[in-house]
Amino acid sequence: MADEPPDFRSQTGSDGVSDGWLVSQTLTGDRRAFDWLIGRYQKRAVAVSYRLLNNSHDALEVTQEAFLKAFSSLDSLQQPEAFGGWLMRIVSNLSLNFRRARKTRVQLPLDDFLGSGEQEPESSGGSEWAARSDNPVRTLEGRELGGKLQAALAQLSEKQRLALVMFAVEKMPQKEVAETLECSVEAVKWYVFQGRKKLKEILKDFLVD
Amino acid sequence: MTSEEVGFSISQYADGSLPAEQVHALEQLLATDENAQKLLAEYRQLDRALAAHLPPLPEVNWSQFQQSISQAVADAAASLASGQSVLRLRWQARLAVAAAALLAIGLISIIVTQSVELAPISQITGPKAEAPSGQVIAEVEIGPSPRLAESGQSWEYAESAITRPTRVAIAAGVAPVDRNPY
Repeated sequence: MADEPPDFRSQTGSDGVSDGWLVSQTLTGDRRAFDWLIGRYQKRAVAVSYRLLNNSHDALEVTQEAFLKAFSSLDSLQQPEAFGGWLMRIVSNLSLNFRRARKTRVQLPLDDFLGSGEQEPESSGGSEWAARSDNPVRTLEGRELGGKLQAALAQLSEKQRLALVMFAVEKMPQKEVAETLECSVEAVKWYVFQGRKKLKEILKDFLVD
Repeated sequence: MTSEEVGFSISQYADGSLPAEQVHALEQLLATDENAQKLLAEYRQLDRALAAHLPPLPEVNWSQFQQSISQAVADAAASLASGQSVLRLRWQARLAVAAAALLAIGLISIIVTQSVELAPISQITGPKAEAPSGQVIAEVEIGPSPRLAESGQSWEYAESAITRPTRVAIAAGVAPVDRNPY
């Protein structure tokens, strides 16, 4: 990426650059536009993948793979404006596939991107956070509850878990969650409700005032 | 409303997505219904727990990670482009081979046609044989003699066939007898 990021705002003359415009520019061969999309969505993609995989290395690997897949099949995107939801759908699908096949995967050398707290060896498939103790504020009860929350989330259906993670945890707009899950906004609200209800039932002994 | 509907409304109310026209009614319910108040408190507590106790996101050097993805995309784009050019070459090669094959077939057919003299074909047509007036009691076919057939000079027979019928049907107006008269 030797070129300076282009000033797309000046080209559109608006406050922001739409995903649709960046997609169309990418399709004309301007790869800098796709770099812009990477910068815009990489954090959210890693966050969603991380919430599904509980492993930062795997989340980074899946995110990179998701962007590659999005780039190679960008011309199949029916609604360029819905790039964000479409990308998150790729991320969530790849994450779920990755999790199913994780036991046979080989760790990729992605340590360079992680902060110092992320570089310790991880047991594949496990929760790295549960092993971390670098936050003195976090109490034993807090860590225990975090582990219980993760275990409880794992018991939800995929759509309930994705809806709850993307909307309630990552604060993604419901519309984008709906695009990711290929459902209506009302259905997203329903999945969130069902997820909350189930989590509340599973965690009733731990969620006390 | 059923308890499920109330729960759904409270869930939306907790995250601020309950339609405006339903907010007033739900707030009236919340003002009087302890179970509804408890459910709202539980959902809010759950959200706080998710925000506070789920593991934090990994610390990532986002700039470096973006460059890595960008480079991977560039590599994929280059690979895709070379793959497409290879495919184009292959397609052109296939077209060239097909054209060469058609040309070769055409040339061969011309050479073969010019080098082989085809035997002349004569088609002889004549009047149709009359249908017998009565029931056919015997049929006699006239052909070349065994000697002529063996000689292979069928042209003599062909000449005779022009002037003489090769098949005669003998008919009679009386009922045929069982015994063959010949």
